[in-house]
Amino acid sequence: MNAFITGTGWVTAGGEGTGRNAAPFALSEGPLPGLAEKITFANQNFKRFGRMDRYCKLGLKAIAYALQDAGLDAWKEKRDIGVIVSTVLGCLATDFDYYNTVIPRDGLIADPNLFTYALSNSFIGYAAIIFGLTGTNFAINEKTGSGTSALVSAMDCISLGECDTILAGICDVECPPNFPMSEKPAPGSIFIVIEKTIERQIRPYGRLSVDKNGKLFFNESEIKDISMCVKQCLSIERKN
Amino acid sequence: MTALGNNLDTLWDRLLLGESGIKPVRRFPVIAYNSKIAACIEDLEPTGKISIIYEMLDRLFITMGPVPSDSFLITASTKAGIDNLERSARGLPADIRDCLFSHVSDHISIRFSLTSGNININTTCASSAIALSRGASLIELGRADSVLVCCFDLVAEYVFSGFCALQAMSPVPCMPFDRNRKGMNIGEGAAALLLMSPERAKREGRSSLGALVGWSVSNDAFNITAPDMDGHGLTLAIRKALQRSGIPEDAVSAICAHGTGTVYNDSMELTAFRKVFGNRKLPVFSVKGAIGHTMGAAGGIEAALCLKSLETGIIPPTAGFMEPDTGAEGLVSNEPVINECDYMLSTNSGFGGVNAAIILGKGIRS
Repeated sequence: MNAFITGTGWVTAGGEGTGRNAAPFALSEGPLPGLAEKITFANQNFKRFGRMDRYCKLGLKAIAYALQDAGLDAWKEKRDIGVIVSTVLGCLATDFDYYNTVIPRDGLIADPNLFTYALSNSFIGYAAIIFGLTGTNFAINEKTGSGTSALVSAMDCISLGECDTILAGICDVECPPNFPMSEKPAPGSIFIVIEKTIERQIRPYGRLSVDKNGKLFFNESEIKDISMCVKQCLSIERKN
Repeated sequence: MTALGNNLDTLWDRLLLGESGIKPVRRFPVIAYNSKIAACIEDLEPTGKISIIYEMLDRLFITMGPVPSDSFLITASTKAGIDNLERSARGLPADIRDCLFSHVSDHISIRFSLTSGNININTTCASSAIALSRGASLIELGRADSVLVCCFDLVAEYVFSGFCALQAMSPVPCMPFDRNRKGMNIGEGAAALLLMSPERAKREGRSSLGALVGWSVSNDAFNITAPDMDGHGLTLAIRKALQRSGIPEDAVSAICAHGTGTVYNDSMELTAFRKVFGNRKLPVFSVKGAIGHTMGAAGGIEAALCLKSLETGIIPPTAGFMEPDTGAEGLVSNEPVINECDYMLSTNSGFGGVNAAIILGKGIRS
């Protein structure tokens, strides 16, 4: 099964932006940029952005960049576009923040706003609302931050006709301090847009495929994680 | 594992009797909350610094048959060992790693000596329906021929307080599809379902309890906590699941609804069912009045109950249902209904606008 990668966007410690804007990219340790400011895409102001938790802001921003890169950010009618995210920690940091509002008075001042962000898929819900995405959508917790679970699942959805266009990516904010993990995921969010066919004027980065064993290939070279996939997309973009 | 029993047969028998496991909460203080009830598993209490999720899973696996070691594991949970996050935040001894889904999944992998890897699906109340869908997809694509789906969630102060803060909880045992319903109650539970390709099941001489023939997931793209009242998202999921199954709409003979007992959810579901099935008097039931809303485990427990319903030809009663809401007349009953059927639809919807629909068919005894 082959499909086209038509967009990529990210917010990482190494930078944020889209593939076609040649934004700096590096999924590495360090502070994440730009989560405090308001953002606007396709003339839509994300009104609730300032109230969101960091995990939600991070994922939403990366999705917005990826859709913009694929030329799919503007819409009039809701669209059958899916979103799948892999995350190691999910909203663990928000879980702590929320529960700290429960403790002081035995729940009397528990924060309902924070509770709505206390799910790994919350930002997918916001992306669906903002960009009119009604397709298959779910969050996967995987052991490492490779994103391969999301990529393979996205390809499966396309193979089985569940979606013709789907975003797949990763999202993790910084691991809470002193959390006992041997392999902490690098903070950041990366999304790519995968399309079965392309019926508009856009040059794809290349072809993504998956074999029967779940191995992923970008233009027939094996890729081990989403970061590697984006690097190869950027390499092709530079050549063009 | 539910508040109504530690195995499917016990749960089934007690469901048919119209019992409810929704009782006053004793696990944590509830004085500050508008609701003080939930469906907790009796005598499941914390001991030491280990999350009680493991005790629940260990009890679940007592009655589990052999699981092939090459099975891929898909767990479904929204909060894993959240009780240990609570203990940790309060400065009590706790293995905080229990909050990591991979930690719990690894525990299950070790329990069954599974070697093919694992993931957790974490998508609110639709988590386990989606996990079943992904398992079926892996098998359909030939990437696996045996997949263990294991779903679980706990009643914890964390979740209880959150739903109370959102004013979604009912102070009385919930009343799905009833005109006087006042909200939901949470419950805890776990279920494990082993999916196999027909060829593998035949080769191993296993009886088929049922078939997962159709599935789909959609998003309302409407609101983060409230469903789209025109039922558009759920309608889309049901129609796509039917399309995947290849069976006509009229082959579906009953619906296991999400039926949380909240005003918005139940009304939205009835609207979606009408859109797909027209004015057919299709039996609809919800188990939330009996075992509470088991969150990430809900779809898995409900799928197991659908298989039991297909096997016995009985639609279980909807506990808590007394006066039908508009549109529920003649569909929902608080008595068991004899209904021989070949296919059932099961639906779940949740935060983030997600909807999942799966279609289950009768099994074949080997």
